[in-house]
Amino acid sequence: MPPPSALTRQNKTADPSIANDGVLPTDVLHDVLLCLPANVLCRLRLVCQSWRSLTLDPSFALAHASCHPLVVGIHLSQNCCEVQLVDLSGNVIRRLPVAQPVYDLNAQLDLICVSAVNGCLSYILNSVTGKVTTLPDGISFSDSACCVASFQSILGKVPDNYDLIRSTSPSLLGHVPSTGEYKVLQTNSYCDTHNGERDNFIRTCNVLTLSGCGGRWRARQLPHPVQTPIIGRNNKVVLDGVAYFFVGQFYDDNFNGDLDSIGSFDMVTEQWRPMVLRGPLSSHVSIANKKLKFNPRRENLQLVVMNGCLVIVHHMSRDCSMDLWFLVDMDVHKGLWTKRYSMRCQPRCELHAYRPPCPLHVLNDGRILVWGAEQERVLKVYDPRTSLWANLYSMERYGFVRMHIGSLLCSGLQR
Amino acid sequence: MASAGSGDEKAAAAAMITLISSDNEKFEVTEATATLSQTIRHMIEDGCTDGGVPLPNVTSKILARVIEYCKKHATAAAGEEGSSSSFSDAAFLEVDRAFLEELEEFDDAFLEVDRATLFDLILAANYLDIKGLLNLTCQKVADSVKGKTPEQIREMYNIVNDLTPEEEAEIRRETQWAFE
Repeated sequence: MPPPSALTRQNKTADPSIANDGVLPTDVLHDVLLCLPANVLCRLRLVCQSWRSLTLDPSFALAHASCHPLVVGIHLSQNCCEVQLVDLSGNVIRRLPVAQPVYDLNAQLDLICVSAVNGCLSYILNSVTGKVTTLPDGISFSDSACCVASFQSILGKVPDNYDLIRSTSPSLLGHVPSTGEYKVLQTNSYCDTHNGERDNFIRTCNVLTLSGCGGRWRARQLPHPVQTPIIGRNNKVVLDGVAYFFVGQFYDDNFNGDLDSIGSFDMVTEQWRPMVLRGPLSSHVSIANKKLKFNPRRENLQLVVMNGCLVIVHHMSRDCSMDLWFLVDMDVHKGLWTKRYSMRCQPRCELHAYRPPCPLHVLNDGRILVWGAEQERVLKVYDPRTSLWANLYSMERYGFVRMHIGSLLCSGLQR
Repeated sequence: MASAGSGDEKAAAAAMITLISSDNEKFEVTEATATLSQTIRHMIEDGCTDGGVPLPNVTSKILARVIEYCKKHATAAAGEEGSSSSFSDAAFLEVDRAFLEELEEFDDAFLEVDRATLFDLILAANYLDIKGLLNLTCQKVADSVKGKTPEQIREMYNIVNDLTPEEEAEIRRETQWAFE
């Protein structure tokens, strides 16, 4: 004798038009909708209330983001620059047009910060609303009191603006979890070319809190000279409201610090942290450090965030491989690094050391997503269990690619 | 090692489980087949499968299909395990690829069912907690709505539009990019 629940079930299935009256149980609808890309789900909010509320639910959005990883890249075509969010099959899920060509990008939750070549022009793009905010130009020389004072003490006078060359770092966007604010960090360096020589470097550091109308730059104290950050494309990240950089002036032959040392700027207090974090190579093997010094421009080192962890990627051109060092204890004093992956490129790439591939993310199935960077411009995956590589698709027209960690379904979603 | 392993497999294959559908039909399956269902796996672990496993939410028609799926995928899983040590890497990959292709063909054919059956399969996969089958069937439904307009989907699934015109306008405004 079947249990009573089976009877009702049987009665229901006897007439298919009743059994499938269109309404799947919520958990099954949940599983079906989870299979669809974010842009399709946004359109399907028009179906009915239950579809709408399900796709707006933060826990759904979180599950969706986990099974539909997106990369964010700068896409350049004829006279047109776009920031695109692309899924792992190469489908463009979201397009965000940018007025000027940009070359540098960093993303924090929903927001994407892009900078033009000389750093003076930066935009903040909201991937959910599509809103574009142009950041004001960094503080001009005369605005920066500390800069004026510095020149005055070195030269005994303030040089004319004509004699100065300003170079501005790409803007670095950070989300401050404790306050929910977004802040942008930028450094400028000015040099006096009065005597035809580039000397008398003066640096400034500015911070801006994003508000509806962009915000205003505020001058901030500079770090200790030894901790001077090098803000380039592959060596700056923000994690949990703290910006991390490699430190030290690599052009300086007398620099005798460790090239994998990391300085940090606390975006909450807007101050440089006093301690420098020792890198994995200098703290693990002294021999490796000698090899590091061999490449003083640090092209063989990358600083990235993978799955919420600070990671140093050490590229070795000799055998075309890379080691991924994860910081497992964020305590600056301990600085505990673990080499989680050691990956050899297949096939060998000639320019490994100069245009290294960039690891982006550890996928749910354990494979590692890697952007083939400038040398090959493909998105590929590495399987640590088999040591095999597989290309996902070509990203020929993309200039810069990183992981997108926000959700297009639910704004402000934090993983 | 290898011979001990295959001995264990034989022992596991010999253990049979009886599944009882809602309309009281009995199905004898190997433990390897049955344990693709996490629900049944837990029942076996708890030792409460003597005298058969009643599945009051699954009809014999659907249970027969689910078992068909599990048999195929259990064989594939066993084949993969067995071959990993006995083939060279290249040969293993070749076998692996052939397996996957065959499995894909099987899955495609398996999904050639009417919508009522597909929904029943989803419900059964959900109840029995068979991840592979749930993914497969959900993806099939997802693919069928992917290119449709909201209106077409409502028609397909008998859904009543309970959104006010204001709410509709709001959705369009908020996610205009998705409609472009």
